[in-house]
Amino acid sequence: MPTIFIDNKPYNVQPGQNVLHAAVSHGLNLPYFCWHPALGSAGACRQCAVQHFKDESDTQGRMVMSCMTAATEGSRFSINHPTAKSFRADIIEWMMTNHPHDCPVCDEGGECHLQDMTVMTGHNKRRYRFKKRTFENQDLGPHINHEMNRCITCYRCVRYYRDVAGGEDLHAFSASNKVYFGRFEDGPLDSEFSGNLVEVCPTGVFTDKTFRAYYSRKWDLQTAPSICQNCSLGCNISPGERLGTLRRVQNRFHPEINGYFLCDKGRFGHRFVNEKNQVKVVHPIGPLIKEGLMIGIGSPRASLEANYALRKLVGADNFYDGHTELEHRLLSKIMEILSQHPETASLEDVRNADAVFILGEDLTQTAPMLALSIRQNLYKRAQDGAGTQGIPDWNDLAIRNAQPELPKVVYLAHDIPTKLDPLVTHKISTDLESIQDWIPALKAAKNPVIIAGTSLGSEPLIRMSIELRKMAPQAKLCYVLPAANSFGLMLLKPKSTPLLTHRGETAIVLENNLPLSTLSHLHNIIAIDFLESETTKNATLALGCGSFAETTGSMVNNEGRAQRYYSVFERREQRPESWRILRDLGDFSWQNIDELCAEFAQEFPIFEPFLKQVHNTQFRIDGQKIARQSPEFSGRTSMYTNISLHEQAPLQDPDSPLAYSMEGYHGDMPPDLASSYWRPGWNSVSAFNSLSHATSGVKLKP
Amino acid sequence: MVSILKGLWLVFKHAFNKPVTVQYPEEKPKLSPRYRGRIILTRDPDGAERCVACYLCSSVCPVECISLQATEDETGRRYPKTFRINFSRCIYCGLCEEACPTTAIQLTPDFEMAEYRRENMVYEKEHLLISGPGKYPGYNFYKVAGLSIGGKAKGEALNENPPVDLRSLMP
Repeated sequence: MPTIFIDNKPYNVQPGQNVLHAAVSHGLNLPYFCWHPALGSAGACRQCAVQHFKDESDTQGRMVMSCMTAATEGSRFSINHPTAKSFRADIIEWMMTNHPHDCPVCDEGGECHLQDMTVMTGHNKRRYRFKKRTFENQDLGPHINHEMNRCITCYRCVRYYRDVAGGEDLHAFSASNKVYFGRFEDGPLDSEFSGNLVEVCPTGVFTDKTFRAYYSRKWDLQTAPSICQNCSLGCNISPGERLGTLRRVQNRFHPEINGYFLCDKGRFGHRFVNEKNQVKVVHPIGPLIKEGLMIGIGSPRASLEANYALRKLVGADNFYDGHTELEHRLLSKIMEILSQHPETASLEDVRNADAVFILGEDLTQTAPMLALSIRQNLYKRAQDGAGTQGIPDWNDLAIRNAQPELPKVVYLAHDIPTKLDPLVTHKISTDLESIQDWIPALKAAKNPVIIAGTSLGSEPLIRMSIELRKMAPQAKLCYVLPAANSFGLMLLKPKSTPLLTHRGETAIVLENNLPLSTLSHLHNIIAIDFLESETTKNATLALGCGSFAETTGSMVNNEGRAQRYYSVFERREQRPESWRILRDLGDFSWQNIDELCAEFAQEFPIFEPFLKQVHNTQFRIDGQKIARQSPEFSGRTSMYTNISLHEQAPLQDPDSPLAYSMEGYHGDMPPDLASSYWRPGWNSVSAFNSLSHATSGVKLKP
Repeated sequence: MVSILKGLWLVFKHAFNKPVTVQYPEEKPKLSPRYRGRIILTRDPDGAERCVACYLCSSVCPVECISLQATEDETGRRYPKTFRINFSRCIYCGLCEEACPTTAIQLTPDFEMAEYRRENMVYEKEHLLISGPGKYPGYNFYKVAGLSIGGKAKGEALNENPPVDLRSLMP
């Protein structure tokens, strides 16, 4: 590990890092714009200038851009040197000559990298007396708001959108002081990953349009660590709530899953939490009087805890799978494969693989972040290719200029055109006649990944995945599953639904919308769900439960990684967890999630490593619970005074080490409990650079 | 002895001074316009709401008695949908006025706010919003900001050039 000296202090840095990355990782206040940990350096904004010294006796040095300078052993730099300092202040002043007077009405205000950097360099008065340049905005569709006046031309947006996400409809137009980032004409952005522009843009050019109509500042949002519910990948998200409504979802860094990015489905697909057609909460619920045979139908979108509670209530013999019959068959096959080959590929493995074989999955539709990981993989391959020419992997523009020849990485079997087609080296049809052509490449690859899934409902494709795996023992398997907790539900060994035909008199349907024909023979249906559905409308008794944003539970993603999501908020009219409803129905004694999980781990030892590692309700840091609200959270004494003048005590959360309060622990914490990034001087998402990038979650072996 | 007489004389003299005490409430005291009393929301010289719902007043408030919810009209002009001040908590420190970037929120010399019911101390937007510009007659935030709103297109704000023609080849 090389040591460099910054302002005469030694710092250990990662080999191959640039000076800027090293400095911000150590929490030093060095301003920058165009660099991003996932995009590398462009050296375009000139903001990260530092003084580079020849040796210890050199006091004058020469100015270098820290993002374009390798941190080599013993090299000496200064951030606080007056020359570099005044240079950086001048750069900011130039950038601000055309920046509009918008901060109060800008959605980025309060979490703006440009604001932070301006304060950091000390610029506070516009000395430039001339008129400001203006631009017309474009309508970029329902998700992204465009305000081009605020642009500082760091080029991060097009570098992300085109080079990483593979979008083609965002460009840089015009020249000199008129550079414009947008589309050829108004219209929604094509890419499924356009939402990341909100976080990539260091200022307010691209902001979240869905958040705009019901806006709140960052410090007013109550956040908690959560898991995306929209597909089986289990990306880490940080939803924000204010006044009882979920306002927005932001990315939560997880090194092995989503990294720095989210797909649009995950970022914008959370509005159902605020829907009006919620199933009514029934309170109190007495113990169920059992008459005849009672069966339970589990759910791949309910938590492990809820599914376990249902299984416990109805008994293992009467616990059925909420997947369809076909899905159940495919999933059983996948589980059988994974019990022999438990080495599944995470998204980070896909990003680092030297060959990816996709069997019948249209990834941009079924698991979008997997598609982005493949695009990031090719981006990395370009870095490696340029590396052979002596170009460091962070030097983005040099890599692009070198135009290294890309190795053949992506192999796809699918019958319809998919969005990944332009990247595919070899595409075959799903009858797999010409799969022989893949075998030399598979055998030659060092760390290939084989992706298959349930979306086409084809068992031969899944069988082929294991055939390929047998040919290449170094390969890792990756299966795209139907829903967020499909893996977890299968671990509870439910029976396939068709087996329930003409069985039982009463069914409890947990968070699921089933075809009514499946249930037609039953006398009583008890449905537990958050939103109304055909099943809840036709049920004898419909019991309302809370959505993922107001409950705490665990899920197992497609690689078998068990993770816990924590409730972000409680409504004024609280909605109970599904497992609490089932507890009351079954007259169990669990008071909180720990008590349930203790029993759960005993019955299913497979979950024990996870339940041991997860932070239980007794976990405290410095004797405190972790605060969900920021120390600047406002309006406590007036938020609800239209309802009652008497301020309520903060709600208690019996199921997590987090508190619904601004009081509690705010500092460094384990990555699975951290839901917002902040450190002094860094209010934007860029604060993540200096935080712990440790992994979280426990991989289970079926 | 002399000093005692001096003191007595001073007290005696004061008996003939004009009294400072005002016969409130029959007689009202004279207060400076800078006096920090009841909080109002003002309008800009065009008669439109000044508040842009930036949340700075609520975040700076030491007793957290201000809460609001931003929304915007069809032209993109942002304004508070609700704006509430709980005057039973307010300490009249004036930090909200100091933080306000648009001079919308202002403190006035009115201090006669006593109520029999505490609920009546909670002022909603309709109780706060007045029809004039208050202490700062000239300022109009949207005339300075780069955001385009109804009646003001891009490039029409103060000190702005007309929007760039991207198809022009001129430098």
